[in-house]
Amino acid sequence: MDLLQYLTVKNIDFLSKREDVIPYIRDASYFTGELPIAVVLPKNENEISEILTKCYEENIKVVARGGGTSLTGSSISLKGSVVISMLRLNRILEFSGGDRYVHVQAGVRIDDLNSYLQSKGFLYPPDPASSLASTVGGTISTNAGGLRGTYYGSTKEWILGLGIVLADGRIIRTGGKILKRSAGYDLTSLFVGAEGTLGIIFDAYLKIVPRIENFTRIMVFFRKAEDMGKAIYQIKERGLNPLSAEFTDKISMNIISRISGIPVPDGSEVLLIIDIPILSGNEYEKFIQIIKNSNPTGIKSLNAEESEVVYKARKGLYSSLLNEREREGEYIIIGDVVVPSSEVPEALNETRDLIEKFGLKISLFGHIGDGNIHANVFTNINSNEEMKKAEKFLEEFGDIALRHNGSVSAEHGIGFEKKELLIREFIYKKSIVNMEIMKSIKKILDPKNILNPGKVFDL
Amino acid sequence: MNESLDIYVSRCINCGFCDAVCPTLEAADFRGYFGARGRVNLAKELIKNDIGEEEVLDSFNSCLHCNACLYVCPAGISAGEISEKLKLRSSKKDPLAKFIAENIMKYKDPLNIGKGSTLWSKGLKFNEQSEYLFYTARMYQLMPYNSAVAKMREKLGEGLLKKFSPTFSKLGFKGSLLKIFLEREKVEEFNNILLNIYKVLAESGVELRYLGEEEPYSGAMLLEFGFEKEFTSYANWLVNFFKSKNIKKIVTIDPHTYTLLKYQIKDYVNFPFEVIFYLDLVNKKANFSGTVTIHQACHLERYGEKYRKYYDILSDVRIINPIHFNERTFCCGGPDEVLFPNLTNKISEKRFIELKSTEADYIITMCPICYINLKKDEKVIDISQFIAKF
Repeated sequence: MDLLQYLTVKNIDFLSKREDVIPYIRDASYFTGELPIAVVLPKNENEISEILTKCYEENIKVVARGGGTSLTGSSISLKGSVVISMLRLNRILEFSGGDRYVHVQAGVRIDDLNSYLQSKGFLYPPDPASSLASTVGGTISTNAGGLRGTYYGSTKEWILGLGIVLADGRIIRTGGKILKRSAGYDLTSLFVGAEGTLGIIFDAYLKIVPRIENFTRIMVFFRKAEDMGKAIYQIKERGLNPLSAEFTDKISMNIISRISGIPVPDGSEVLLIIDIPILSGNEYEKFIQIIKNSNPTGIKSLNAEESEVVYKARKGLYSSLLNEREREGEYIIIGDVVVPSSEVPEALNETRDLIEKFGLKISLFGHIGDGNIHANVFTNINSNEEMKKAEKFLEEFGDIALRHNGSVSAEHGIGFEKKELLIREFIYKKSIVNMEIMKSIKKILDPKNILNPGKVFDL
Repeated sequence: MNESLDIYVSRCINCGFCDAVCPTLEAADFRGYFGARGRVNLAKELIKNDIGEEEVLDSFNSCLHCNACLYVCPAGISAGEISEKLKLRSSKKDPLAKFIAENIMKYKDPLNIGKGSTLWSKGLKFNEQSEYLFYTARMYQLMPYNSAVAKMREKLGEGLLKKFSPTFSKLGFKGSLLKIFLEREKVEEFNNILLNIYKVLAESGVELRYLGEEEPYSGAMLLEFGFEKEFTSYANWLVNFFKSKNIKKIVTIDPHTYTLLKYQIKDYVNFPFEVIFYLDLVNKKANFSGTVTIHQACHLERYGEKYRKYYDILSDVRIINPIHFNERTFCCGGPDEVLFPNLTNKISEKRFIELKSTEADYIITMCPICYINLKKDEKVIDISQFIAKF
């Protein structure tokens, strides 16, 4: 019995016509996948288990797909593969404010989850820019970050337990609704950031927190990125925690100014947007004092309306940059590195020099509170020459992060795009054995290499 | 769209934000073909001639044109607009859509309801000299007939209805043929809404002119179903018709006709008339001590402007917002009623639950299509009924 006959017999919904599978060949990266043999739309973990059991038997590749928002190609379809769309698993199963968890299926979108939690006064902190479309399962699989990462950390901090279907169809559960656990290897963590190469996450227990409603948003302008970097470091050094701390270069700063109507003070090259939580009463003064001593060209405290406009402008910066594209075929390829806060000033200086050296149109912004810098490279993806240049830039951008004790991937994962960079990171850290360990784990959990093969690394 | 379709489509970065807000995706049990991102991806293939028109017709036809995708798209493109352009370009047409288009061209009415369009106005006073033309475009009147078609579909089945559509066209279809399936109470309900619209305008001191049986349909469905040539011809006829009646100001009473005449028609014909939405002429404020929630029409929120005059009228009333409101308002599913009734049912059910969960005393609508799709209990009320009552 072939796969499609099997799915029919098992009464599992699938799509196999060309027009039906085309919508699944792309994600938000610049890669285009190959036509899969089928897209399966399971309703529960038992159906996923039945699909994987058959695919394992028949050596058929399987690509799990949530919101299809990967920027590195993690979720694009592969030739001869089966795509498992997780969107029908979109129920919030259980909520407990007292126990501080929410139990959700993998296909719940992040914004939908937070709309639900908001009505109960709680928050699930990870907030990638794609939160409107990205799903719980997808963001766990890429260990997504976001604007709130500086205060709350990235997705891995918020996963208490997972339901997973393994490559051969077995169903396992890791962790659970408890906030701490010391019982052997931490298998939950193993699947965070695995990009669907070790198993398929079908549900998750997520840690939640009460919402912090009381905060002040300020905009601080600087002449030098170095001054901004130092300000952030000093804020954190003195025990203060911004709810978020976002920086932009001049291109993006001017976009935010244009959208919000807030003028840019003369001589400003860099913008910092900080959310200061008002917890015990005098945080604001402490923050402001440090900032005032950091050579700003201007400080603007925002009222509620301005605050909303600036937040939307920042969250929509990528969109705004897309509208700055001038040529057919032009895309924005995003570099995504992270360095420790203390290294941010020097890393930014070196990045500025690198941009000059390459002469590419690039805009920088990022979650500077946790040292995450995004380089948005305007590239014509139809031009081999431009693509090579962009790739070379991203390689050297990654090297800057490595020289400053950082990483080549902060929150977008590896996918297809960063496989070489990942090797580079392990070599730089004189720990290439990490790659061997990863491959060994993969071989144990997916001996036939059917789960999202060719993503993260090549076996 | 100020550029060629292929360049417009190529700006898509495939982020999937449009899918997250597309009502038809979830209603189609997440079959990507019926989602906004799917439509854009299929458009990419169609433009390259890598897929046939026949295969993608349902994908584009099922788009509600609610523009929810445009509001969230980082690249500023609309899957709705892409669907519309490709429908216009396509030579393949759904038989039922073809039947309706032929009726519009022949009778100036999608279902040729004849006198059924004027029953509401019996005994009312109009002023032939008034500068304001009260233009119903037969929209409220058509709703009970649309329901009758849906009932007929239930009885005949989808395939049979489509099979008979060309015969209906050939024989000359009359709305009165739908009598068996027509619900009297529904006809009265919609006539009553029209009466209330008339009343609130009269109470605001607005005298109206009405064309009675001569009043033609707007032609909106020609565009929705992709009949561009026919729409251009119809729009020209409409302009000449209004000119022949010496019309200057057109008071529209439903969002679809309002945005069609105010914005969309201008891509096809010079439309030299002032187009007004009737709430602009209402000078009354509602006085109600309870709570309401508002189902904002997509056409008033995301087509050309954010039309929100109703907030002034309801400024003394406590409004509870549903999850999706203002620019993020969620479509009632109505535009799919003719060709994809199952999608419409699921979408309207979802929206009704959202509105109902606000626990407001009333759910206010301001569009006949939204009203008929969301009228699932007594709380649902057209804004004209609410203003007249309170």
